[in-house]
Amino acid sequence: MDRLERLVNLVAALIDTNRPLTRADIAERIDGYSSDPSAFRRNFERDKELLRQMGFPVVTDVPEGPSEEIGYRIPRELYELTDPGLEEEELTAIRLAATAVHLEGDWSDALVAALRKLGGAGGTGDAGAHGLAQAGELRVDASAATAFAAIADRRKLSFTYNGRLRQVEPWRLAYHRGNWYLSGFDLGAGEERLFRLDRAGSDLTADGDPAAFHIPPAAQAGPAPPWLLGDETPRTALVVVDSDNAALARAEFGVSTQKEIRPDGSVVFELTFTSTPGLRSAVLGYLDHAEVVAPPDLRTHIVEWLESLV
Amino acid sequence: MRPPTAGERLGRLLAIVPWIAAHEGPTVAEVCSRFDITEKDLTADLNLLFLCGVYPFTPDVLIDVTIAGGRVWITMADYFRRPLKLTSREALALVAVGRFYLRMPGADANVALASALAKLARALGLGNDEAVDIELDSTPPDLLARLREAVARRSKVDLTYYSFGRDATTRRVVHPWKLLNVAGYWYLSAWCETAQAERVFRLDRILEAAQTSETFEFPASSPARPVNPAVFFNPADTDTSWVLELEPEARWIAERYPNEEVVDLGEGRLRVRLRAAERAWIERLLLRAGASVAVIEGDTDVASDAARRVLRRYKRNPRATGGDK
Repeated sequence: MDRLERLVNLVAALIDTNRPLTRADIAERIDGYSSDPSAFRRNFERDKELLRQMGFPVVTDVPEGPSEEIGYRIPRELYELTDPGLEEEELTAIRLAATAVHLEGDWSDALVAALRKLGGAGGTGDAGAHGLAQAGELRVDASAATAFAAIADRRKLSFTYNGRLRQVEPWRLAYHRGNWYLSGFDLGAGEERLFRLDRAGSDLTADGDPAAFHIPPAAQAGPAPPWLLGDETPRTALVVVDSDNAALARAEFGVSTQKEIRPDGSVVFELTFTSTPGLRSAVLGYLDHAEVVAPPDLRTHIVEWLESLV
Repeated sequence: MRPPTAGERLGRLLAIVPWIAAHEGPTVAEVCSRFDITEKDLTADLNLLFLCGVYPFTPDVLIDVTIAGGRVWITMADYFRRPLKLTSREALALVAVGRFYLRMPGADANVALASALAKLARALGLGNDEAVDIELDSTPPDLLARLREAVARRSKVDLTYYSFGRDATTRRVVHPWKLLNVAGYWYLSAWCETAQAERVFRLDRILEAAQTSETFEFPASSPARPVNPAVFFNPADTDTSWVLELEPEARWIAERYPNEEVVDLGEGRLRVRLRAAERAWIERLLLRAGASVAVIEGDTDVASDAARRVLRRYKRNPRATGGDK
């Protein structure tokens, strides 16, 4: 018998039942399992594991009655996708976005699976990536997915960051320059914090009850640049960048920070910073095409940093 | 292509069944196109469903599938009346791709996509709040618009470009093929007449882009190919090899850049071997990382040489206060 047939029957039985099904129930009701008890057990465990990996909410319960044996079922309310009520043109719009934006690795399979559940993954045909004048590539990873689920469920997240174990109420995810950032309330620090997820020192784990907190309205748009990711008192730095590198710096620092264009084409930027290391790294990225001109102590800091390398 | 696993077929089938059951005998062709499945695979999966149902498997509890005249009906599958909830991976993939596309030029007027994402956010429990924000870089919109126009008109472009790796400015005529956004950064994929090869240019390093009156033709073999980030950072065997020892605070270097070997030295320290085509690239890396990186193999003077060069600039103007004229 085809394993797929056995799986379909197993899922149907686990959804259809109004009491948890014991292993004995399952062996009796589902065709395709071996009559040998140890082979049954092995196959059933494998099927159950596959279903859990696929996101089927297989719950365990002790059925009422004299037996103490554990039973299994799939509660409908945990199984069923809430219908988002998409119109056909909205579904088409999402399909088109999925064609234009490529996800790395096996994430494109997850995207196709999601589109199928919504009622359609195909339909863009030849208007695919080759026909578009513009396209995109996006990287997604497991920690972003864990954070996403925790935000949706309003569950606390635990992970190591900068050497400390954090307990965070996750609020929002932002994708900026190829990296995922999580903002949320750090329960240990008692304040809002921003975490770059690839810098987390451990996997993210959702724990505690769902609906554990409220998410306040967004306070800031997108993640701050590295020179604002610190705890120092905000100060202002002046950075001069040579003309050849000015366009690059304008893109990195933001047009609004441009203070002056000098006659030789070099540009002075005025940057607020709260992280000396963040600003130092940004300026040194321009090698000898950029220079901090103020404040003097930041200038001294960079000179000393460079002298330690000589 | 490898055949799908039982799990993949199960996932696909449990998405297709509720959709067919909810529609009045859709055509087989529509189901195939909508769910990106061949007719052969669909028929095989549906044939198997005929035999499925729940205990005691009497006809009244078996799933009923009818395929006739190119149309398909499913009844008696009430336990499969809705698809399975999205997994966190699926939900994030969907929302991120939608938000990304919405940020692309011209897509801000995509009302259907915006309302689709709002409905999805509600159904996923995110509320109306924008829980996922995708930010594309701040390339001047006029440059992006000019290049999009050049791509559409197939106009050759006279490009002045700052080459980051070589730390030099160059000028060349290119055939603009396509605009790509990779990891938030905009790139132009183009044929470079000087190099006689395909090149990828980052938009924030384009100093000038002037459309010329000449047009170009796409080569017969399609230049468009799967977007591949390896194009943008693709070390070759001929590149200089470097061995670096990293203190714990510089471990990110091993995680961020492709490398050939990582050796754990204990206490959080790593030894990493990587290749770099351009000296300026490794100079930047070492100046930023400071004393937390030591060059073990390769030009061991590279950091001190670069540091001296930058220091000369600071020493030239020892008491700069700047900007206050």
